[in-house]
Amino acid sequence: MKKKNVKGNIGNKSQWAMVWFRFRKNKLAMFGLIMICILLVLSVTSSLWIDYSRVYTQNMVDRFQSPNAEHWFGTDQYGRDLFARVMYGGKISLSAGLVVVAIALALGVVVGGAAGFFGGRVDTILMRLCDIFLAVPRLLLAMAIVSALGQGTEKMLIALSISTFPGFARIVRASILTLRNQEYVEAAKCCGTSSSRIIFKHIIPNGMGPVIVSATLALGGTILGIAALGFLGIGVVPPTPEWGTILSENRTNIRYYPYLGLIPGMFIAISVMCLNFVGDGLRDALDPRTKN
Amino acid sequence: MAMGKYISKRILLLIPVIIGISLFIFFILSIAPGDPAALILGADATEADIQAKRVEMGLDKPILVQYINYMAGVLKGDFGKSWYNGYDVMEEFLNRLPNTLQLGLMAMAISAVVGIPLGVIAAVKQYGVFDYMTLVFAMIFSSIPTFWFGLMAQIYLCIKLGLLPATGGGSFIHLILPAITLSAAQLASQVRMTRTSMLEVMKQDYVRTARAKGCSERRIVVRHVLRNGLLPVVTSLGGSFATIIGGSTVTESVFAIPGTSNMLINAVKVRDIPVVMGVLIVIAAFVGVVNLLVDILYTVIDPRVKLGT
Amino acid sequence: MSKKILEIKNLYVQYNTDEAIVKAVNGVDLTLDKGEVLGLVGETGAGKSTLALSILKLLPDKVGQIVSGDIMFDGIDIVNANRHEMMRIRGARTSMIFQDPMTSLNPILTVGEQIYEVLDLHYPEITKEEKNRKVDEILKLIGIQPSRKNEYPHQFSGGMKQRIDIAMALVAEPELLIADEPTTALDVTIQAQVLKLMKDLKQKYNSAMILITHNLGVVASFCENVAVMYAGEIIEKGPVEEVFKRVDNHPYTTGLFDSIPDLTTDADRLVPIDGYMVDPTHLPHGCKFADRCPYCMEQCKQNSPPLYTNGIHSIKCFRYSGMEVK
Repeated sequence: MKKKNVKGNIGNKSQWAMVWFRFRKNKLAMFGLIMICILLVLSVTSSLWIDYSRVYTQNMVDRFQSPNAEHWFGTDQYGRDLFARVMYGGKISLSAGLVVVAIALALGVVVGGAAGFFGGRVDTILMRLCDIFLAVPRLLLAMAIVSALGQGTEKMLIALSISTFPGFARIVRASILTLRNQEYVEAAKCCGTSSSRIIFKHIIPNGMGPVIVSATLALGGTILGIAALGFLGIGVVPPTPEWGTILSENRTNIRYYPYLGLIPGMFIAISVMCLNFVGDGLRDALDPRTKN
Repeated sequence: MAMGKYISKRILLLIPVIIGISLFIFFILSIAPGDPAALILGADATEADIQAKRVEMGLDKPILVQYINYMAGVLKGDFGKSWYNGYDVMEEFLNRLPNTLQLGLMAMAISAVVGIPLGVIAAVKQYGVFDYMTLVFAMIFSSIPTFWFGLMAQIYLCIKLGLLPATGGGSFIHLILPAITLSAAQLASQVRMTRTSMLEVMKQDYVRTARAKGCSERRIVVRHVLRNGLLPVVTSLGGSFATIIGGSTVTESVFAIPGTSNMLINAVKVRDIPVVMGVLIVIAAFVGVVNLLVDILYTVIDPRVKLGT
Repeated sequence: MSKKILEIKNLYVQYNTDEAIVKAVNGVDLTLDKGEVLGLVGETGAGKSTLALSILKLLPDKVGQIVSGDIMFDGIDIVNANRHEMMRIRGARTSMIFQDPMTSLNPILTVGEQIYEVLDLHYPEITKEEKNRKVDEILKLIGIQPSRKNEYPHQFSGGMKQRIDIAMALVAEPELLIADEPTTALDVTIQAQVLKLMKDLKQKYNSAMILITHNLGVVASFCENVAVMYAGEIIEKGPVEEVFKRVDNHPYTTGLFDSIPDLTTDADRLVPIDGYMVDPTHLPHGCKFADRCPYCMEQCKQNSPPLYTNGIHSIKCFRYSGMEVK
């Protein structure tokens, strides 16, 4: 007699393909993904198709032009093309964000992984260290580290990475601890699976989910942080274009020339929003039970 | 675990935290390039001047000695003097603290008092118009940079329309717009959190039991769902506070409020380490105390949890 | 004055999920007399819980739907009753005990408060002292010290929590109690305790009862009548003695009996029923048991048999068409 799969034939899609399938059905998440990719590509490649000089060349005659055919976003108080500055700024804001999250993720995986895997003394020491960093608001810690290290974009990157990785470490550790005790790990051990196989085939694929969601959302927060630090004049310093520094430069002029404030701000908001969409979409795709 | 014992234990735990952070910053300072003394004196200082300044700042001693001297001072409540303009760190901090505290508390109050009810209503009327609007609002305000929101609000409400003072602190009317600005991001996240938590609780079996007993929907929400749903929200209050402290930096900057966060920003820009350290340490202690209070509050409202768990 | 407390006629209930429509209850007729104890038997997915939830209109809000049919509780039209009428009935005239005692109680309210709530909802006119007295009284009946009423659910064991659920369900002295697998989540020894308790309470309050279970032994020791459900239909019903005589049974019921180990015979292996229950999103045209039935005829695949009855015992199978006594 035929056995029927009551749920219908889902086919032999792998777990990640299932996640991608569910993600694709989420229109908001897909929109976010596409937008952020466009922004990323546009800004990272900006040095290829926008002449560097347009970013810095001052041209007092053309100052304070509203968006027009020649200057798509208009010009600022020094006559510099805002479009070029926003695009170049995006390169720094977005790629700096990526670098910070990448470094923090790597550190977090190593520290959290070691803590979760080895347990005992190692766990306690590593987690106490993380607690120390987590005791202070992230932005403040980054600022303190910058004050000790000195000004500059690279130093800011280091500072932000250090203030971000403890959060990741906690999540990675929590993931590992939950998974270690799952029944299917016990089942795998009973079947005689080796430790490394357990790690790579069971723990990592299942544990990566929450970490990736967290990384995506942290990217949004990091971009906001970089912009805030730029605005304050810590980290990226004018005249280097970065969405935050552009806003700080034009602070007194926005009153009369709103586009100078609206446009960079919009770019920040849209980037972060898209990342939030993607992060939420990933979270829903990984655990569909939370939806209905 | 008895209350008193638990509190002392938690307060004692703050000590390694403070030592850890301060040690870390000192360590970075020691390996970082650039000479703080030279920076402060400026470009035309002579080598002799710089050396004299270094001695004055205590920078000629080995880093460990510097650290021990500093911590010894901290124990006595002496956080040193600003490298930049010589004022006493602790004294200046205490002068400015009321502004920042007022700002932070107002922002927390706004985000809780507005955010939580919005989240509850959104959950109860799930998929309705209100729910979608709330989610859209939450999404927007989670993505807008605080400083940008503050800047725009300042320009349009204060400068152009003249409704509120643009800068300065000290009174309620001065702080209302900054508080709203500061609370915006937290409010958005509070609404989402509350909504999610309420929805989770609504799916629980004991809600179905309550319905089977004949409870009205309103009674179910108020008596059964609300109290259970707010538990995770209470837990997040500590983190909320930390985030608001973080956000107060840009808010105080935009609105030129003479608070401790502004003090920190100015100090960071010129690498005025004693000020930075002082503010950092006190804030870490503050956040620790707030977390402790939140944890105690939680054990009071959830009968399943005892102190120390 | 009608002896019937519950009359269900031709009830169809479905769940409208994103992926498909799940036809959970397909044309159920059921009646219950005052004080009668009916056992509702069937495997997981047969529709028993859905049927129970429909009687109290506790189906999941947007997803569950009573498509057609009647449910009359003591003359009241349940299907068309509004929210207020249902609120008055639930807990006071009809109450329900759910399967998992670990999650049925609100963790942050005391046990006493939760039992008190039932009285508060339905008998606001009696005094606070009287309500408290009733709470104490029922706690004693279920074997829990009244002094424990200020404790929280997590301080009680699974069996005690189930007894507290029973207390909540019976304190308002309902005319109908629906118990959805009340002992499935409990140890065997606790099961016996809980069942005895329910028996005693039923005697005291003379409530009618629908006991949903997949355990035939429980039905045998506890119920007067039994109804067997399969794929959303009642395929056999009658007095317990008749059905359990094992003389005339629906092939599915026979299969159920055969798959229970029997201490009196010498068998090498248990005899399970081949195959799986039909997919409720894709119901077949003919008899829903057709593809698992050892006696399946051509007719069975084409048409769904009616419920043949001899007045006492009813079986939904073409093999029993001769049962009808006219």
